[in-house]
Amino acid sequence: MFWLPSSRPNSGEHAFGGCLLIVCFWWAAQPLEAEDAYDFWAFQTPREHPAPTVADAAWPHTDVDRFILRKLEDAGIEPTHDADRYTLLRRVSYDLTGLPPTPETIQAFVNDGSPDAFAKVVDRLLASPGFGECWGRHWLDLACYADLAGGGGNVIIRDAWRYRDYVLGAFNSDKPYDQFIREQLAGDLLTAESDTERRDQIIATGFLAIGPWSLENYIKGQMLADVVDHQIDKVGRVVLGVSLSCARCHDHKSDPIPTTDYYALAGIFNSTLTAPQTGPGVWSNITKTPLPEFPAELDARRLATAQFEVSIAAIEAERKILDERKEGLQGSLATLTSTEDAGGASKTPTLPAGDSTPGEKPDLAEELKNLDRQLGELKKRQALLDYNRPRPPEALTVRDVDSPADSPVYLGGNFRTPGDVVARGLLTTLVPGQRPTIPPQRSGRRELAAWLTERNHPLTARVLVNRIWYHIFGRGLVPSVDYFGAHGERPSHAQLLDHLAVGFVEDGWSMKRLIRKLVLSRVYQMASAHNERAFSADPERRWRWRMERRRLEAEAIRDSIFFLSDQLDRTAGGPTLGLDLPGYVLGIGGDVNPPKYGPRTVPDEFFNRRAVYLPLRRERPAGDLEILDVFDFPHPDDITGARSRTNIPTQALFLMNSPLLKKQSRLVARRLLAQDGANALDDKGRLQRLALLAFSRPATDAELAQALKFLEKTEQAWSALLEPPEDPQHAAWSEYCHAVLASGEFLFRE
Amino acid sequence: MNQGQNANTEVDHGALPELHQGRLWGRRQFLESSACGFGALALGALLTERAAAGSRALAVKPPHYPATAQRVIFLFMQGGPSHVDLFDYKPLLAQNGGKKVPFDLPAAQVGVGFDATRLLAPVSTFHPQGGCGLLMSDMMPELGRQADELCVLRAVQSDSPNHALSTALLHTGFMTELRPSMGAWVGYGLGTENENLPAYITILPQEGARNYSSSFLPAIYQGTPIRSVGSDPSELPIRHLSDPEVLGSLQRHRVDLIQAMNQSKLARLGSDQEIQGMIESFELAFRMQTETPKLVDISDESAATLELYGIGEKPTDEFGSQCLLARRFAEAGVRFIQVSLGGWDHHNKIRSGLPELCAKADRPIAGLLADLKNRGLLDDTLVVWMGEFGRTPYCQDVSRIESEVGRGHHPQAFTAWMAGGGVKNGIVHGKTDEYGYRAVDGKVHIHDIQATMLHLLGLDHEKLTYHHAGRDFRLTDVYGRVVDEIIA
Repeated sequence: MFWLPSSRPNSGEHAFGGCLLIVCFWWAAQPLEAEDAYDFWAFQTPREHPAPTVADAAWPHTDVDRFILRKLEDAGIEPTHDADRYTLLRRVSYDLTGLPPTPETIQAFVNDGSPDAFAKVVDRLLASPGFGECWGRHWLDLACYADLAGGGGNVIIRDAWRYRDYVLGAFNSDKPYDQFIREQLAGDLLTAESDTERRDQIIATGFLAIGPWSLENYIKGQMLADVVDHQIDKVGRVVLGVSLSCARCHDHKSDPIPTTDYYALAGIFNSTLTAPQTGPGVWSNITKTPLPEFPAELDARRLATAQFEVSIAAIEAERKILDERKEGLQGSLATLTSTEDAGGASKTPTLPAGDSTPGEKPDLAEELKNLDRQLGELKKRQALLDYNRPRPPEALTVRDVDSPADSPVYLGGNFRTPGDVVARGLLTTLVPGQRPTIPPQRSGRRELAAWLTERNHPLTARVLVNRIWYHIFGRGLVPSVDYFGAHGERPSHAQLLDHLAVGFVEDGWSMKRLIRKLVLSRVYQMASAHNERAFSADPERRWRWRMERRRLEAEAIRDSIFFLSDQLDRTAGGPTLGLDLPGYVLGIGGDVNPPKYGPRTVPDEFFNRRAVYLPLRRERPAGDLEILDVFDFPHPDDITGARSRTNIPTQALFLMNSPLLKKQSRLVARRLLAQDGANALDDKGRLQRLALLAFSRPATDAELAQALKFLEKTEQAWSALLEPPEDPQHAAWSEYCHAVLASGEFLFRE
Repeated sequence: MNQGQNANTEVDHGALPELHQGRLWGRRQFLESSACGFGALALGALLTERAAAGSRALAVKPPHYPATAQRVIFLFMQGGPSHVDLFDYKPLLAQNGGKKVPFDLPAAQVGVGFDATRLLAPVSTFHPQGGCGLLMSDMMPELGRQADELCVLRAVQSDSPNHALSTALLHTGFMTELRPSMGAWVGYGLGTENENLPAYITILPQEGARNYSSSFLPAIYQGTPIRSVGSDPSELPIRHLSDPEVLGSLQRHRVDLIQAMNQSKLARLGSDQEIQGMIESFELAFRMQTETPKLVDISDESAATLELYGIGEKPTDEFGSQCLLARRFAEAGVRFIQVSLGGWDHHNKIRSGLPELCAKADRPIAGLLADLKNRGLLDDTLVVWMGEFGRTPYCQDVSRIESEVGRGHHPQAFTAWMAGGGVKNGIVHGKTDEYGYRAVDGKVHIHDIQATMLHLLGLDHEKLTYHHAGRDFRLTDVYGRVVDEIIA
């Protein structure tokens, strides 16, 4: 057990707080002695290891292969055979872009006999925008990204998308990882050489600004402490792979993180403005910063402003006319009523009631009601227009407060019981090495970012390399991808991890080149086939004798369905909330509560976009995004390095019965049956095309024969029904396509 | 299995059922007619009573120690029912209605215009009920008749006056971070007694999905929402439970085609847990598809039972149906059943709103207790009734009009009750001050209720942990005390 001598709590006394540790449990498990803390593998600077020698020198293509093969040989296990080209292309397409290969690229790759055929494919995929859309989303899982904020998960924050696009762009442009981290933690404090760079830096701090904030919590001390805690947790788990949050209430029970270190970091984030309370009411708002405006943007905004003014003027003119008519009507009504008054009726010009009223009056009243309704509509339109008034670009950000200050230790994690003040600083004992000092006038975020991205930092590169390995191979070299501490799992291939981490930093922290290196290894190109002997020796496949079979991630499933039905819209980036559409913004102009986002539908114009662009509420995806939730899309409040991959009946019900699957099946069938001249196919041709689209391989003769028989019989059966469907051929094909979309082969990648 | 065997297991998609009565395929007929084809494979999987990948995780697990409760029915009164008007009568409050608030309030609670706030006397009359003489509101006469079954907690505490945060605390033990919900913990701890149904069902949830999520626990433990009750047959009780455009046997046809493709893939692979799991989860889904409609169809209940819950009568029909469903799920072996009723957030119009809502809720809840008791289920079913907080003894300064007044959120002290499942009955535990403002004795925090609930189920809340992100998590965080005083 590691304890800092100065902060060891009285034995037998629990340190209470929000950290959920079960003290006795921790005592029981692999303790780290104080003097051993620096010996713990993860807190040591990684060292380069030469690739080991192997008996079967012909097998490895790369050094990665040598590390893997050596362990396999030591365990007496043979690696499985190579995957065939269809399988390999499907695998690499999904892994790098989250989409299947097109039938054309399949044919091209299968027919390309050149030795670098696969490398060419890999380079093409790495250069495609799909790469950032897939890998950027992995990062958004860690960043707790959502397009909307707390308060029921639907409070509108307009500019989250800029951070999403920044992340996707960073992957596509292969922004070096150290720079990527520095920008996200302290972009606002860095110097820039161009407006473009400056914008990126500002937007990048969305990493800290966007999160699961309880903006409506009126106990602001609590809210602030929770925001800071989340930011510390994010830095800890995402970048360092350690749980710093434990130390909010007590010294970390297993890792060298004393409470004072936590509050030294808390001082940094307390000195960072994230979500101040700005208006009346209880609500806080995420800090916004104006962005340098590009000339083209400025021109567009001027034009839009002119149009906006015209539209507003038109509405006002219309309102004026209606107002005048209303006044006139009210006048007539008053006259009528006062005539009646002479007969002793009520004095107030209320709506006429009862059958004793002369015929003229209800007509007038009806018209008045009508006018009021029209006026109400106009008002709403005007409010919505005004809400979307062209404005200069801004981003959700953090920035330093005017007077940075140190934080007290909150005893037991409770902000109401402050203890001694701790100087702002960086984790003093987690890893060896010097720490930059934090100038009194600065928050310290910049120093934190600089320290985290030091070339020999023991954790930053290792944690990232392991994350990339996890996404490519389905399981991390350290299986607990977000936790490298004493109670995490040990690496299966520690030397390989170090070799990759050192190489990654030397190669300029390039994520793309690391990914390229990994997928060009022979290990990556192994089949996922079962092997009884290897299985009995290593049932958990710890030594990687075959490729992992994986169910596709939720977005890949949705995108692939739309790819099959030919509906997928590849437009990239930009806002997708549709805030200018009627019905999507609720409560404009409320005096206390901020406007909320309306329905759980995706606006039509964005519905066919790749899933990464669809608007995310801060809750489990629902409504039009239900498919994401069904297939384990993470809750946006969670820091998720490794998603669940569940296999539950809810998924089966969704696949069998959901309107989305049914509709898309019909569209796939429609596409296959379409007769467009030269491209018209016979049934066999259609089935072949379907197999290529859905399974990325041609159908076997047996499959073809069986499918044809199925289609023929089904079509016959349906034609013979008492109420046959309009188009029995299409109905039969839809049924077949539906089964394909719900099948394991479509939902998995080998 | 090796490659050579694949040829023998190739599926025959062509084997099709004969037309049955011009419209439907008979399932058995279909399977028989295709016995040599892919139907045989599907049938094999069907007849295997092997639990699905999901249901293995749901297999019954032994508790930490002998349990007095086998299941929980959690009646969630969303919005914060007013304890001072329902269960916690305060003579001094009744005397001083309309007067200035005589006690100090924390600064955080004093909002704009607070100076004008006045005490609000109880809007209900109270009488002692049952043999135990429980003093409770006359707005709930039926529940009054069950007073001897109740274990009333009068000094319950939460940590936040905010609906979302306090609701999350109540359901997950945490306010801000996303954590597994109580029902998920119970499913994880004990499994389920019915392999055709989920372990955790929430009927017409009023709370957000985070409150019945499994979070980092395996997804199989998340709450399955029942979305409609009774009256509207076009609404499916569980999302996508069936395809309304396709009749039953045709639906089986669709499943069989999917299963045939999966069997064919499994045969090619030789062995694969994930594809095997997928095949099994389609089968469990199909069983749910047949089992659930039977369970939610209450037409086999006697007229006397329906009357007990007030089903078929105006204000009680809907909530009565929800409560009856809870009993049916309890009988069927579901571990954790939540029934939610919203509308308790009486910031205004409490004088008319509270009696109206009580009229909806009273008979169904009393009926549920009586029905459980009649069937011998109350002994091992823990029923819990509570909201996320209570309401202030003073009125909110929203209106000067007497009929418009209401009360604010009040987490410092409020009332909950339990019944059955091994708690003492006919008792009151805990006490608030003379205005029902502060808890003064027998305080029970929400974490304590969670700890006690787990205890009654035979689970030690300090030992029911799940390892995630490098640490061991608990429903009750580092808090929670089993309230021994109320355990029989």
